[in-house]
Amino acid sequence: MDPQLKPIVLKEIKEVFKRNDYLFNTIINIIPFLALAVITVMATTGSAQKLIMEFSFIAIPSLAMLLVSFPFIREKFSDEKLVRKFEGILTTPTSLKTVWAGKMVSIFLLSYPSVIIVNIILLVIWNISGLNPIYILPLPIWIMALIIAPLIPMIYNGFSSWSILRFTHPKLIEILLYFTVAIGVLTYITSGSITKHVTSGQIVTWPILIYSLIGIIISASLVLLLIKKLDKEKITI
Amino acid sequence: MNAKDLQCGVGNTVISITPTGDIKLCPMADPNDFPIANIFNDDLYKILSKYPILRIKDPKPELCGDCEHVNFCGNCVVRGLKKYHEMGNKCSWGKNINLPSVLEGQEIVVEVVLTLENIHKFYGDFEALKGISFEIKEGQIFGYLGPNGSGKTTTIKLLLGLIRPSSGNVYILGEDPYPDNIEAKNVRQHIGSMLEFNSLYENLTGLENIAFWANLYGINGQTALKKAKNVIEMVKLSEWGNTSVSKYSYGMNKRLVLARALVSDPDILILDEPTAGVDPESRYIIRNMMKKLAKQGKTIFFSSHDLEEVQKVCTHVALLKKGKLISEGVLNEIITEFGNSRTFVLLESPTDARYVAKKIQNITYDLKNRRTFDLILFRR
Repeated sequence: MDPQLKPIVLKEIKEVFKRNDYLFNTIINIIPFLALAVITVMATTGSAQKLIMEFSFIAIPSLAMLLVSFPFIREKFSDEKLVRKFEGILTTPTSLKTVWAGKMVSIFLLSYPSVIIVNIILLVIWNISGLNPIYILPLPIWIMALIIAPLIPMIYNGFSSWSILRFTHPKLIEILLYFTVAIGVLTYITSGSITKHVTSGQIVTWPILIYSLIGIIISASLVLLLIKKLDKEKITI
Repeated sequence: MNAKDLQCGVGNTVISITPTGDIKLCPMADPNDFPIANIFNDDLYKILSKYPILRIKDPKPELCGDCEHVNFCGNCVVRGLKKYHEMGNKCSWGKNINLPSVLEGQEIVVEVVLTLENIHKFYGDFEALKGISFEIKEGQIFGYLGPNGSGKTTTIKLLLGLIRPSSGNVYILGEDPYPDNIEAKNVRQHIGSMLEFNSLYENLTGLENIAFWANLYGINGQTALKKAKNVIEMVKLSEWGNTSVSKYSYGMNKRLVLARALVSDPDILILDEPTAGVDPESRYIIRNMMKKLAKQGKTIFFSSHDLEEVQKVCTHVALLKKGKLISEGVLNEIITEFGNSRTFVLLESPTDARYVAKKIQNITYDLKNRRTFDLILFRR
């Protein structure tokens, strides 16, 4: 491991905590998803309940994490590129890859707690409604909910950070990425995939988990390759 | 009088005298940047002396800036001893030179720490640097002087390995600083820098900013904190060490960035306009710091558009204009080149200046907008 990685991660985290708005940002971004979770629990009954429970544990914490991490991507990549902070740090004996990795690790560490918080709150809500997800949901769901699904927003953040660093107008790229995600989500919803899963009776099985893991590894490799190929002159010119 | 073309140090015609006696200023000597009217020889001296509003400085040679024992003229001071030997112990002014015996025959070897070889840099179709070449040796304070947009920051980015040249080579301690490989990282370990944009982290305190920088140079724990405290004291910011950088003034930011550049105790300092826009106190502190560091044997490369600044601090100077190197060398040599043996013209009266402006073409606009009309750039 690059010796500069740890100080960069610690600095990035310290910067966020010093600002005092981290907790506020996390809560504000989690609230809509908690409201969605409550509505979901209240609105469903019978056989659909397990499927909805599965779906809420997989999708809601990850979406919360994505939303919590958005400001960090903007501040640590887009804003820092605009005010030329990358130039300063790249004059030191560190590499662009290390700086990028440090920022990404810090964003993960700062946004992953939202996954834990939302999962805990979901557990409480479902328990109040009379169902205990710990007993109902199988192991692949928990692996998906706690490990695989939170990596999806990180992959998105990886592509997002690369495109911000690579292209000339980071703010424009940010907006384009928001739209890309929005279109992607809408396409998924309207594609009938959800209905298909509902009719099958289970969203996450072991094969789906393995395919998801392979997909994550391929995507992460692509992000790492793009970052490796990134010319620092694109940032410092 | 016959037409004459007089050459400046890099071979450009600085002043032309037409057959009718009109004086033309070289386009390279743009008065907005280097408002110089050089006098190269006695003929021109006599012509310009006739103008009552021109005060001519003594064009006679002075003591060499490098060696007080040698009475060099402006032309033979170039490169000191080497030039002395080439001149066959005779100054071009015809005087014999008494070289101190302790220096005679000795070859002084100084390590070249920074080299730029025929650097061209394009931003799209725009050529920011046009064939820049120079070397900086160990222990030099090298001033890189030029107006805004002349390519100073581009050169500094090249030296720091932030961008790469379109053609040509950059070497720091013999290595290309651009790649992200071990060699380049090792080179960057020896460099402290101060860029145009301070790139400080506003939410952290001054000490935290510097300690983080120390960490990046491999200095960790209490050692990093101790070093951070030391350098912050050097720039007179001890009382502000635990204050968030967002509360710092611009001048304090600059001082903090200088402290940050020093925390790794680098051998080479590369500073981009370190005193630009700062308050007098900060300017004084930064300038004194640079002098102190130079005495410690550090090599300092700094850019500026302030000639006075460069004169007060530097031992060596390069003049840059529109991406082209106009002149480069020892400060005293440059002063001699543009100053003593080639006398500057000082215009004292705005009214009279208009009259001169008719004679010295291309500078009318400049003269109209100046209050003091001081055309002397280099002063001792």
